[in-house]
Amino acid sequence: MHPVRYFKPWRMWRHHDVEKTYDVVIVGGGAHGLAMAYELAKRGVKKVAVLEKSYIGAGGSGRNTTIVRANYRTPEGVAFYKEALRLYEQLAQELDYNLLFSQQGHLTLAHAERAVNVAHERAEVNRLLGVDSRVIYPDEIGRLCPVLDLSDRPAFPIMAALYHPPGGVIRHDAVVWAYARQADRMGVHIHQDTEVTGVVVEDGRVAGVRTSRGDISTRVVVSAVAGWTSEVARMAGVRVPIVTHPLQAFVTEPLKPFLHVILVSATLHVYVSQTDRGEVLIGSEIEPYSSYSQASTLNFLEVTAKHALELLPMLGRVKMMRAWGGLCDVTPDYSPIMGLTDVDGFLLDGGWGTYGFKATPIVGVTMADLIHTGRVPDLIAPFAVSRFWERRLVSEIAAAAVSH
Amino acid sequence: MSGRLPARPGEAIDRGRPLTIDFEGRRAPAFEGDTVGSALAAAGVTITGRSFKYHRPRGLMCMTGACPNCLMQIDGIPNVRSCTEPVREGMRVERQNAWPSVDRDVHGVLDSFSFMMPPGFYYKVFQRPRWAWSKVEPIIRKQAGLGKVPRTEDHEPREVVNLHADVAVIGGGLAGLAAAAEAAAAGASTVLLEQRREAGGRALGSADDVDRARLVAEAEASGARILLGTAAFGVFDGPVVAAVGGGGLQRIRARHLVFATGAVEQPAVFPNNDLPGVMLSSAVELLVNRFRVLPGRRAVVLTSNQDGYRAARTLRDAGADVFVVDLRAGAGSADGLRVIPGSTILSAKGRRGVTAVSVGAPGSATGQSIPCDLVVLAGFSAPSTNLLAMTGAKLGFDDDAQAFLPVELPPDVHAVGAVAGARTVQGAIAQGRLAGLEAAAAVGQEPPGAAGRMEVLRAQAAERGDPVVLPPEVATGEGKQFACLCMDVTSKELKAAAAEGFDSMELLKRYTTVSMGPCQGKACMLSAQRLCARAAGSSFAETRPTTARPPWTPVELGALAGWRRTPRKETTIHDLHADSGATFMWAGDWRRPHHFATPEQEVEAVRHRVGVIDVSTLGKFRVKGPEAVELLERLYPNRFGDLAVGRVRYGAMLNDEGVILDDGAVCRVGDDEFFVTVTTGNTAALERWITWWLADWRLDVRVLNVTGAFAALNLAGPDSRKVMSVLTDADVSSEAVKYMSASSFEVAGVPSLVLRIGFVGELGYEIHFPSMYGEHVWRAVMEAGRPFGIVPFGLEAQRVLRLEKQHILVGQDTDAESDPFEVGLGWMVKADKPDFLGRRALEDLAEAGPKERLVGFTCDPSWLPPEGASVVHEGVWVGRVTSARRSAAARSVVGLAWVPAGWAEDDTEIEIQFGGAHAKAKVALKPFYDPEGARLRS
Repeated sequence: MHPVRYFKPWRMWRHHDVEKTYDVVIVGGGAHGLAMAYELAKRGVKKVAVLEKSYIGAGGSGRNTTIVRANYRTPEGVAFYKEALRLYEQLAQELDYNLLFSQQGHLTLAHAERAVNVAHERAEVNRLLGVDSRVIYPDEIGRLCPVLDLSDRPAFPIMAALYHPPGGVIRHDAVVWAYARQADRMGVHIHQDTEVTGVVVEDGRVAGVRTSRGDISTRVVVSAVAGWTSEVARMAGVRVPIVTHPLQAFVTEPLKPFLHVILVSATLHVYVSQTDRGEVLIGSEIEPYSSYSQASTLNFLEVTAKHALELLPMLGRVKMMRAWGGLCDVTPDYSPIMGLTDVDGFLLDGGWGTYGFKATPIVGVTMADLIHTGRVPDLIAPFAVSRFWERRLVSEIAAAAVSH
Repeated sequence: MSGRLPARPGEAIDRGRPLTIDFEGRRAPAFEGDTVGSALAAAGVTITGRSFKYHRPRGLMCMTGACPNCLMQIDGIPNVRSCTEPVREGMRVERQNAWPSVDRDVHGVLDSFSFMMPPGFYYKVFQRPRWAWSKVEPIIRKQAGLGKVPRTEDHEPREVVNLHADVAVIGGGLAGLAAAAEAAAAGASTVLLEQRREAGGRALGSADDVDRARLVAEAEASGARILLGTAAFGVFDGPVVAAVGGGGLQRIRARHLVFATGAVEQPAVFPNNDLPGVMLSSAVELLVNRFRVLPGRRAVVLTSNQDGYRAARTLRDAGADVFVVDLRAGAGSADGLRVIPGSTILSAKGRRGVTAVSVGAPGSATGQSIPCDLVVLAGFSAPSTNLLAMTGAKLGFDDDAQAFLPVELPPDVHAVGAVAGARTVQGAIAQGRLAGLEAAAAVGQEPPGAAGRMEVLRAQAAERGDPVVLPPEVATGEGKQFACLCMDVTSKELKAAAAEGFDSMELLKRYTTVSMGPCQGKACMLSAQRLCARAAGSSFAETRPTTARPPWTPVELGALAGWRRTPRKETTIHDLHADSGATFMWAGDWRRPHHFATPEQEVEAVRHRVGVIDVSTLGKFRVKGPEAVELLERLYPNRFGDLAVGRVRYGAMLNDEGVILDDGAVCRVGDDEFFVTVTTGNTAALERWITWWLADWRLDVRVLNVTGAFAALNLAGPDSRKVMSVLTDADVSSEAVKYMSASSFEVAGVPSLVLRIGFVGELGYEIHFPSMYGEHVWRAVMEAGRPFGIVPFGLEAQRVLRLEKQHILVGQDTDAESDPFEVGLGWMVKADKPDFLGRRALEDLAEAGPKERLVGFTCDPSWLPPEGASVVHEGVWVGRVTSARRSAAARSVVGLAWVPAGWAEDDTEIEIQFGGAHAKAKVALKPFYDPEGARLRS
C-alpha cells in the first residue's frame, strides 16, 4: 500500500501537437483504442497516436453498463471471455489504477423451464471449460438477493438462476483513464478533440489520415470506433457488414445498498445492478432499429421500467434520475470483426455489438500482437472481415440472446 | 419553535385546518397547504439532511424541489423533495443518510478527514495487493446511497394518457400563462403543463400578487387546459413531450411547443456556502409570503439585481434585520435598506448553521464580519434550457445574460420568458403573449387585430433588462466551497482534477461526479460550469454544456411503467380445469394445466384409449385476401400454392439468417383464406413479424390474430374417432376426414374447424371453435368420452407423447442458430420457388452442410439426464441435451440432443454428462414410437 501517494496530483495524460508522421494511428480513444496503444507501447512500438473526435471514453466505453463476465454459452465464446476476465482480474495491478472491479456475482434468472435448461447447458459448458458457474435454486437465490419475490406469484416466476460468482462490474471510465495514463507515460500521443475526416489510401495501402487538426502520414491505421465503424471503414474504401443499433440504460436516484449481485432476465429483457454510489442501474437489449441517435426514447423508458418492476416491484416509487444511450455495431453473426482488411495497413476492430467493453484487455493484447508481429493471433483469426464472403461465419447469435 | 408570522392575504396555509405529521417519532404541527419543508421550518428544524459524501449538515435551500438538500424518506418512499411535498395527516417523515440521527451523525467526522478523500482518491489506492479492493469495497459501499429502498410494492394508480393539442405550453410561470391565454383565446386548443400545484412560477413567492393573479384568471378564462402538478421530464422524437402528474404518465403531442420553463436560481460559491441557513431568494420569499415562516432574524442578502431587494424588503417587512451586499459598485437603496455596494460574501461561518459572513470587495483577503443566521443568495440563475435542448434547439452564450440561451429553434418550437433570456416581468409576459398569438396563427387561428398587437408585443418582448452581474467564481476565504451539493464536490477538487488531465466538462463530470447527483445539475449548473471552465483554463462562454438528457425532473419508475404490468391469460376452459384439480404452470403469459392425474396415467390413456388437452393457447391467425398465397410463399420455405382447400400442411417460418422462428399448421380454408397456427409463446412476436413484412411488401392480404377468438381442443388416441362420432352428425370416417385435412362441421352443436393432425402421434382431431363455447364443448367431449375412459391431459403428458414421436418444440429443442437442415426439416425447403425469407442464408447453409444435428437418443432409464446436460467426447463438450423424458412405450429414456453432424447415425454411442453423473446413450434417428406413423393416419 502507498499511504500518501494519492495526495499529490497524478498526471494522467498530456496535450501534444499533432505530429506529421506516426508509425501507428489508432482511430477512436475508447477503451479498445487506448488498450491497443498501451499494448503497442509495451511492445516497444514508437510513435503511436490515438485520435479521438471528442473526449476519451466518450462513446461506448463510457456508456456501457460495466458488466464483465465469462459465462457464455458456446465453447468459443467462453474461451475468449475467460481470457478477457482473467486479464481484467489483474488489470488494476498491471495499470496501477484501482478499476473498482467488484466481482459481486452475476445471476441470469430463469423464468421458465426452457430457461432453466439453458442455464444448465451454460453451466455445463462453463464447468467443462473451467469457468465458475452453476445453476442455483430459489433458496440460494434468496440468500444472494433477498429482495426478489421467489414465490410462483409473479407472472415470471424465478425458477432457477445461472450463478456466475466471478462476474462483476468494473468502473468503465477508470479502465479508459488507466490505459490512457500508462499509454501516455510510455510516449503514446492521445489527441482529444481530433476528428478523422479521411483515410488516405495509395495503391491499395494506407498512406495517412486527414484530421480536423491536419494531415498525418502513417502506414498503419486501426479503426476502433465501435458504432462508427462502417463510417471510418468507408473512408478507407473497406465495406463492412455492420449495422449500428442504439442501446439504452438509465439509473435511479441513489439508494442505500440493497442489491449486491447483478440480475439479468433475458425473458424480461432487463438487467439490474446497484452501483457503489447507490444508483440502481437498469438496462435492456439493443433497440431493434438501426440509428446513430444516442438519445433516450420514451418507449425504452416505459417498457424497461415496466420490466424492471416485474422483477423488483418495490422500485415503483423510486425515481429515474438519468438516462442515456450508446451505439452498438452489430454484425450478421454477432461476432466481432478483427484484423486485416483488403487495404494494406488498414485494420479493423469493430462489430462488437454489446460485448465490446467486456473484451477490452484481450483486444488490446491481440491487436497489438498483430500490428507488432504482422501475424494474426489464433484467438482472433476466425474474426477476419473476409469471413463474410468466404462463408465462415462465427455465430454467437444464440449466446447474444442473453447479452449482458 | 420559530412559529408563524401573522396571517396575510394570499398565504398558502389554511390556519383553520391544522394537522399533525410524524417527524422521526415526534409530532410536528402543520397546516393544510404546508409542504413538509415549510412545516418543519415552522417547527424550527434547520438541518434537513446530511450530505452524500462528507455528511455535512444541510438545510432548506430552494423550496422549489431543485436542490438535493431536503430529500427525505416519507411514508417509506426514499428521496422525496420535502420542500415541495404537501403535508398529509399522520405522514411519517424521516431524514436520510445519517447514523444514529441527522442531528448527531457520527459520519460527520468524515468532513474532517476530507483531505484524505480528494475526488477519485479511490482510483489511486487499494489496487495493490490484488485482494485489497475486495476487502475495502464492501465497507465503502455501505456508505453509498441516500434513502432506503421501499419495502413494499407500489400501489399508486398509474394511468398513461395521450394528449393532443394545437399548442402545448411547458411551464406555468407568467410567460407560460400569457402564452397559453393568448393561444387559447385565439381559438387554438391549448394545454399548459405546470409542475407545481399552483401556476405562477417565480411570481408565486412575490409579496405583491397582482400580475400572477391577473394572468392566472386570464388563462383560466381563455379555455386553455391547465394541468397543475404535471412535470414535463423529457421531449422525445415526434416530438412527444412526456410529463408525470395527474395520476400517471402524460404523452403530449402538439403542433406547436412553447417552452416557458423559466430559470433555476443558483447559489454562489464561497467557503461553507452549503451551511444550513444559506438560502436562495426563492426559498425566502416562499417561506415568508406563502407559508408565513421567517427563516432567520438577521439576514445578509447577496445580489446584483432587483430580486435581492425584493427578498430583502420581504424579510424586513416580516421583522428581520437585513443587510444587502450588492456586487455592483454604485448600488444603493431608495427605501432605507442597508446596502454594502461593490462587495461579495468572502466566506460563511458556522457549524450546524450559518452564524456569520465575511463581506468585502471581490478578491480581497479579509472582510467585515457580519453576524447573521440567514444568508440569501438572490438573482443568480441558470435558464432551464434542458427540455428545449431536447428538441434540437441550439444554445449559445449570451454575454448580457451570462448564460447559455437558445439561439436557433426548430420549426414550431418557441421559447419565452426566463429560458429565453427575459429578465423583466413585462418582457417575459410580452414574449409569452407573442408566442401564443404566433402559434395560434400558425394553426389557422388568427384573431382580428392580431397583426397590430403582435407588432406592439414584439417591441415589448425585445426588452431584456439589465446585464447580469455574477459573483466571483470562487471566493478567497478558508473552507470548502461547494460547486455541487449533491455529490459534495468543491472548487478545489475540480481544480485538482483538471490539473491531472480531466480538463473538459465531460471528463470532470465523470471523474469528480460533479452534477451527477439527484439534482442532475439543476441547482449547480452555474457554479459547476463556471468552475469547470476555470479549472480547465477556459472561460464560461467557451464551455460546452453537457448533453441534455431526460429526465429534467426525476420520475418514478411506476409512473413510467404505467398500468398493471403483466398479463395473465387463462383459457375459457380454465375454471373447469381448476375444478378438476389441475396443477397449473406458466406457459408464456398463459396459465396451463401441467397435469390432472399423473403424467404417466395421462400418457397411458392417450396411447391406449383417448385423451383431451386444452390447446386454446395456440396462436391463431386468419390470413385472407387475393394475395394470401403470395404472402405465405414468402414467409415460409414451404410451398402453399398447391395446397388444396381443406388440406393442412406443416410449415416453419424462418428469419433472414435461415433460423427457425416458429412452426405450426397452415390450413387452406378457402381459395384466398388460410388458418395458421403458431406456438403459444411466439404469437405476439410473430404477429409483429408478419405484419412488419406485410407492410413492407404491401400485399393485398389481411392478417388477423384470432388467438383469443377461438378455443381449441386436441382429442387424441385410438378411440378418438369414436368420441368424435358421438359429438357430431358429420361423417368422421377416415375417408371423409382424412389425415392432414381441415373440415368445417358442428361439434357438440358448435360450428368448428377440425384439423386432423397429430402432435402426440395418435389418431387425433384438433377442434377449433368460438372461445365462448369453451366450457360447453369441453363438457360435451368429456361426456362423450366417458364410455371410452377419456382423461384430460396436461402439458407434461403432451411433452412425453411428442418426444416419443421426435416432434421438435421450437425454442426448446432449437435456438437462435438452428436451421431446418440441422433439425431434419430440410424437406420443407423448396429451393425452386421464388424468393422467401431466409432463402439466401439457406443456400449457403445447404452448400456448407450442417455442422451439428438435432438427433433422438435413448439411454438406460436408471438416470434421467436433465435438459441442458452436455454431450461430451473424451471429456470435451460437443453438444447438449434439449429434451429428455422417461418413456413407457420405449422402455427407456428418450430425448433429443445436438451432436456433431458426423454422429447423426443410428446407434452411434454418445456420452451424456451432467454435474458428476454421466450415461452412455445411443443415437436414434427415427421416432421412438410408431416410427412409420401408421397410428396417425389410421
